[in-house]
Amino acid sequence: MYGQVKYQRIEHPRYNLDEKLYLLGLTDDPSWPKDDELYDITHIFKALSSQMDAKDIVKTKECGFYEFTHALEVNNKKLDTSSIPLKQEEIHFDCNKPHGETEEERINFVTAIASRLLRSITTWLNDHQTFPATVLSCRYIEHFLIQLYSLPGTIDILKTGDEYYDTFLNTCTASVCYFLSFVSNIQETSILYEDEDLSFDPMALDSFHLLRNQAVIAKKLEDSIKILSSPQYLNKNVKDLINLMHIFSSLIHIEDLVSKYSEDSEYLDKIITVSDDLNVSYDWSRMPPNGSFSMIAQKTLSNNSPVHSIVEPVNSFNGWIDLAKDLKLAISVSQSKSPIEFLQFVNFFTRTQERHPLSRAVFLLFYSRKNGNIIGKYGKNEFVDKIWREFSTTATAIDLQNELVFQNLSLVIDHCYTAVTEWIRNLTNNHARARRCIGSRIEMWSDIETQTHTVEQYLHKQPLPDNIDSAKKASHLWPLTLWSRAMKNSTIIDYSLRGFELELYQPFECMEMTWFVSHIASESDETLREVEKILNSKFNQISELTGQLLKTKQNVKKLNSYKPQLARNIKYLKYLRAHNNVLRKLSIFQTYQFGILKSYGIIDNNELKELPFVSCELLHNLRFKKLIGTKFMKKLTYAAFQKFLNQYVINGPEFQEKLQKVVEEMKLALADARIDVKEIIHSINKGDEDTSMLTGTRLVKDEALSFYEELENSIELLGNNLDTITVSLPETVSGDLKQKFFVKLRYDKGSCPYFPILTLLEKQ
Amino acid sequence: MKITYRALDLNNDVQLNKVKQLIDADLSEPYSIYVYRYFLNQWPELALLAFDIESEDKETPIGCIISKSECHAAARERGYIGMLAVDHKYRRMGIAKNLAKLAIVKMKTGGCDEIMLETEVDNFAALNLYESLGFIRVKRMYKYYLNHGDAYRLILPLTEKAVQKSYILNEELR
Repeated sequence: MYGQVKYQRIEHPRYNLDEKLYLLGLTDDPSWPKDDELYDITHIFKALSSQMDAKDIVKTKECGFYEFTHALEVNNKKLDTSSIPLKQEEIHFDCNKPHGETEEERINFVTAIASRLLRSITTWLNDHQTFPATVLSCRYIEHFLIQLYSLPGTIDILKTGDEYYDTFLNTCTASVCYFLSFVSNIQETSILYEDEDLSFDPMALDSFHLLRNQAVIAKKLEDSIKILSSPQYLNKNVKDLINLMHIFSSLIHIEDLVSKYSEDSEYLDKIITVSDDLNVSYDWSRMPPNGSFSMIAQKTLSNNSPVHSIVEPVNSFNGWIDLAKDLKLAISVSQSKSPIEFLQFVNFFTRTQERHPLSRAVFLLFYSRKNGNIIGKYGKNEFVDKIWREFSTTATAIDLQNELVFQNLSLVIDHCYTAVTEWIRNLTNNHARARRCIGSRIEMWSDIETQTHTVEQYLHKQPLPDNIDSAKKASHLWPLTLWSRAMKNSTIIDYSLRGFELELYQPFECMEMTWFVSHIASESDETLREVEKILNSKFNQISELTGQLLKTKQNVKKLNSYKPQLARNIKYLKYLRAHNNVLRKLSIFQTYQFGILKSYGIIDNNELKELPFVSCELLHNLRFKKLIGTKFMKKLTYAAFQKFLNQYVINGPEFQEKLQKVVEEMKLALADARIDVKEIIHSINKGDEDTSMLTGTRLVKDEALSFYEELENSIELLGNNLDTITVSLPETVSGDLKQKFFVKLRYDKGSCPYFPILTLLEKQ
Repeated sequence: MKITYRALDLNNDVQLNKVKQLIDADLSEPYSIYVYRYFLNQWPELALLAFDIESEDKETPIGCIISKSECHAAARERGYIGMLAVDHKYRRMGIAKNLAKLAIVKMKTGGCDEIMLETEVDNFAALNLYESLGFIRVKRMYKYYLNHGDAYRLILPLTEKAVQKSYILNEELR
């Protein structure tokens, strides 16, 4: 099979009679229909269909598109859920009977059901499995949800007459159903994408929304834990069950993170410690009763999905630890003390690893409050203003306190707020979705750059007081334009490099991409330098201002108040430039590396030019399609690209000497990058205390370190690869080396996926 | 063995059933007859089959490609390769590549501006095949298939329209 169209999920209303009867409790045999209840219409169908042409389409009013297609899935083993085979023990499993002859057996069964149920939740959410194949495979969940329709307002669903089931397991089940309501609410916000982030099809069993009273369930869980911890149960092997119930108890509080913006992580800590404990002490020999986990719900409920085999959860509670840790990290954003810390949190939250989908959703709902407030600290205008101030507008004429400035900037503020919050949302997506969203916003940043520049040009002509420079010497540097340009540049770089991470680029495309990144990074450096110039100029002017220029004491106070902020900005700018320089130098290195291989004729950025259907120019333009409309691409035509790239190809006489020079240049690039990475890592480790840079990574220290350490590893690997390549290649370009070698992109563990290794391999 | 290629005969049930067998044999996505009919009834000329005319069963297809072509975003004609499969016994003979080439030619002459397809990220045979024909990966899609596998979307641009943003093309049309 060489490619395949995606199976399209068919959504249709519930229509199965058997499902309705089963839900109403009018039949307890989900294996309906039985053979003797069916009438064989095969002969009628065949007689009628024999008169039809292949192109004929049958349509009736009663049978819409969805019913029609669903009907065509009958008997297809992969699609027809009514044909799922069931064992007798599954068909006759009764949730209202206590399973286990002895008390010990019942404890073991209840513990095993609770344990598997918990692990099924993380199999569903962490491992991206479907809901019916995991949580809904638990008969107690299915039973609980069905019964809730007829018994709204109560959570005492199980009626087995046994305490372990009716009290303990019942409460655990209620906790899960309450949690399902929270997950369903998250899904309705459309923050997470169906299938790629979360697969939640409750098959019309949505009664979990009827569970409103968190406090009642919490109390019952608390009471259950108390009972199980009492002396009466001391010798009854219930320690694991108590631990499990602590997780169930914590589960219902996860919604508090977004409903109450709770910063309390005590119950998340409890999940971690209890899960750690369970990993060590849990008795894995316990098995749930036969039939208690089954595909029966897929067969009997209103099911729009194809057949999904049950996914057996692994024997570990690490999934809970991962979930709790990611949630803790997500809400730690509330501790950010400045917009820099906040933005850097966003930058690194998902940078080196995909975070748990729930934690990503919680983060977005947690930071952006219903009243429009950001992490409970900043309103819209204040948020945008602070971001600008931490970058370039401190002590400039861009002062929102000035009515004229504010009036002219109010629309810009709105647009910038939208752009920044979209950027936050884009980065919080899964990595594949993130790149796509980032790409589709490049044009927006380009528009904002134009918009800010237009407003700044207008403001420049107005009689506005520049807070420091009365002669407006520095004002022509356009602080807002520079901010939006810097955002645009970093977005383009991020978008381009993430293509490597997702392995979108083939080896022959590397040169164009790395050269492009180095080019944008050079532009970015110029922008950052200009900002640095403004900041330094402002800082120095304040320092140099003498008493005769300061008319009042108030002025002195105001001017001096700018100094700490300017000093912070300058340190932050140093970090941004160092970060940008690392990406630039490594991209230059990669371009040279490709250039060497191209010089030997082993690889070519236009190597598809001989193919019959291919235009290299069209391929190039398709690759850069998202950037159409930006200023760069107007200048960077395909022809211009080729001209620039050819500068990296060595040819003509004195090949070896030229090659040596290039190699030296490449080593210098790596050395430069290494210095900057080390300084950034040093600053992160020191928490930006007594360092030359301000990284703003206090809240995401591990995540930021992980990113820069990966870059550091890449620097070493790229250096080693250069040595290997130079040794492998002959001194002169002779013969058709393309017949002997080929190039592959290698992604080594622990290295930065933005800079894969251009590995030279011999053909077999 | 001698391989020939021709379009599917929509009224030939043997061909249709064999096509289903070939595709169902080793693909992860489950398709109902509706999916096949959707493609074949609307774009029969873009369903091409390979036959081994020197075999005993020379009327039974040993490979197939199923495609379609329609207007995308009111801006360009987009060809789409839905399925491509070759019988195990006939693998590594260039039959899949020939089928793909024939489909591309058909779509190109039919006025397509680009050709798109999706394939699993770890289906290296498919990726090698399409990339050797000039397709490039334009996006990765997480958990795209029912087996939770990621997919790459690949595109082969055929005209300038393929590399223009849809809204720009639409503005030009107005």
